[in-house]
Amino acid sequence: MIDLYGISYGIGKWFMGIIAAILDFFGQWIQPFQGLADWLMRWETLNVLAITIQVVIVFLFVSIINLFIIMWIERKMYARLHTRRGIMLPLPFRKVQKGTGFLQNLADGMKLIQKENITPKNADKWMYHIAPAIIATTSILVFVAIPLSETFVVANLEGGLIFVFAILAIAPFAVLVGGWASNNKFTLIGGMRGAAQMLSYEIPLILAAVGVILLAGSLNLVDIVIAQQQTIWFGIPLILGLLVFLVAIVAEVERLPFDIPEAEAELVEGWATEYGGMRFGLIFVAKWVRTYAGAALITILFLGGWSGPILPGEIWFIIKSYIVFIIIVWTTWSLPRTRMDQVLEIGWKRLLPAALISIAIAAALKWVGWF
Amino acid sequence: MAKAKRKSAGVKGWVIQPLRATFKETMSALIRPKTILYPHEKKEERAELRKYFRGQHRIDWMKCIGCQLCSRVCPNQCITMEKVKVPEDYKGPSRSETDEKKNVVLRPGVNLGRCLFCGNCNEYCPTSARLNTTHIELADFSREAIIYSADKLKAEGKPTKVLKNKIEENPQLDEETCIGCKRCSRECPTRCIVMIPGKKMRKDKPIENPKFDYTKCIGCGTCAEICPSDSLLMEEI
Repeated sequence: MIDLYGISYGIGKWFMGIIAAILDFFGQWIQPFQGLADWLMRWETLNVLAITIQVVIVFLFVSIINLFIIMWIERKMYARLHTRRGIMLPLPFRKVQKGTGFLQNLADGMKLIQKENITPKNADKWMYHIAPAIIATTSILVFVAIPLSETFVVANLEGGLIFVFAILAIAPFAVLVGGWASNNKFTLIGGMRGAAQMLSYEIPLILAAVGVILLAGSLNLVDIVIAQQQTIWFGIPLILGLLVFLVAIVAEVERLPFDIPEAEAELVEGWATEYGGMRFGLIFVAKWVRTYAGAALITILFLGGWSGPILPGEIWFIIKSYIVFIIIVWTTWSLPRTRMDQVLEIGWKRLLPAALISIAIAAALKWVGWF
Repeated sequence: MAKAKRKSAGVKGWVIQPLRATFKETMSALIRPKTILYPHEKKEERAELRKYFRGQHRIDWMKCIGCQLCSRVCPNQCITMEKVKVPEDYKGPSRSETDEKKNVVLRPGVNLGRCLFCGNCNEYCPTSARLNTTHIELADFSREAIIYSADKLKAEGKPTKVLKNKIEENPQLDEETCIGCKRCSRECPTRCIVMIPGKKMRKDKPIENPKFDYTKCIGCGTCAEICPSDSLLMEEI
């Protein structure tokens, strides 16, 4: 297992050591530099630096490496669902463009960055510009609390699960803000739909996780996985809760069976209609990041997190979360879009009772004393 | 009035069946997707085009007898007959046998801008000189480039004598109006017309009327077209 904090601390100490040595050298003539060098090498300073480096590493993992892999998986996967070949990037020095699809997303991003920044005439400018930023930041912020292994975690929060749910629940607010501020009927309808949809899935989502909390006896995500290592994956006794959670997560990230806020057939691009350039790119990318956050959450809560033989924990976690992600992609590009009333019906008449039953099963198992 | 309630497809219809269908498709396309990389991979190379696919025309100059039937049956009239030099060791019947000085034969050229690829010309060709190819990349930058002259459509082959009347019409003579000018016998691409003395007399000599060898006639209608007195008529026998 990779000790994220240890590595970050080591990098910070090595880097600060070089700077401190240089400052020490000048300290022979300029007295205060010696004190500065001593301060830099103190534990408190290095701790802050280590945490910063941790955040940067996780940010790079989430938003660069992982994101490109996710986008590639999704675009190739749904091409195969249509029996197509999927993304390929034509490079000038290659004759047959096979195997270069991975770079296509990079090319798309570069194209989007070059685009002009257009603000609609009657838009509420401040809110219009802040909405994609809220979505992107909250999507990446989720990964602060998500542990890839016991030690590979930025913030091992006592109430990690609540933190994750709270951060995920900010995005519909940004959807509403963006839809309202664009001053367009399509975006307004999309934003309102986003707010209405939140009513249907948010409660089953949290109730499905309550069963897991009961069995694990903790809100800490690391503790939940350790509890699964000691017994079995919670996805096996709580299969009902797993299904409810999966459906609710798909609704949470506004993917296709429940992508009513941006139903392409009805509302041009939904609440994101007026966004262009990299703002559109941010919204699009944030959707992928949120989907991966959902997959990671399912992995932690129901599929035993990083537990697995032979391979290191982080690899197991990534494999499991990608499999969950592929299942989400599969459902996304297979199922037809639901209507607004159908989402509410599914949320309140199907998912909520199922989540309650899953809690009852968890409580019964706890009462019998198996967990 | 109670509204009839339609039965919902349920979880099976809305979730399980679509998932199963896409899973099957994915499994079939995982190794080799059904789409092809067009500029690099072609259907011709994959031999997926059928044998009788109607692509670009090719004409076997050794088999062709220049009967003009293809240009006559063409619905868009995009085939024009061009006078070209006789290919070497061509022994088939041609204009050249009678017009030795001209030394030319007729060969078809195609205006692909108008062609609708119906395949009528290939179907009616009495000597099967017109060939089907699977070549489909015919687009070009100028309008002149897609008007294919006879030379461009030339394909080499061996001279054979297969004559088949595929249009199933033969010329009928009206002896009353025939003036005995012999043009039909001169122009006939298969040399199936022999001039024999008829009943009508002119200046105490019998007028020569054409007699048709219907085993050799291909029903091209050249004779009926050029007849100056309109005494030949194409009819089914």
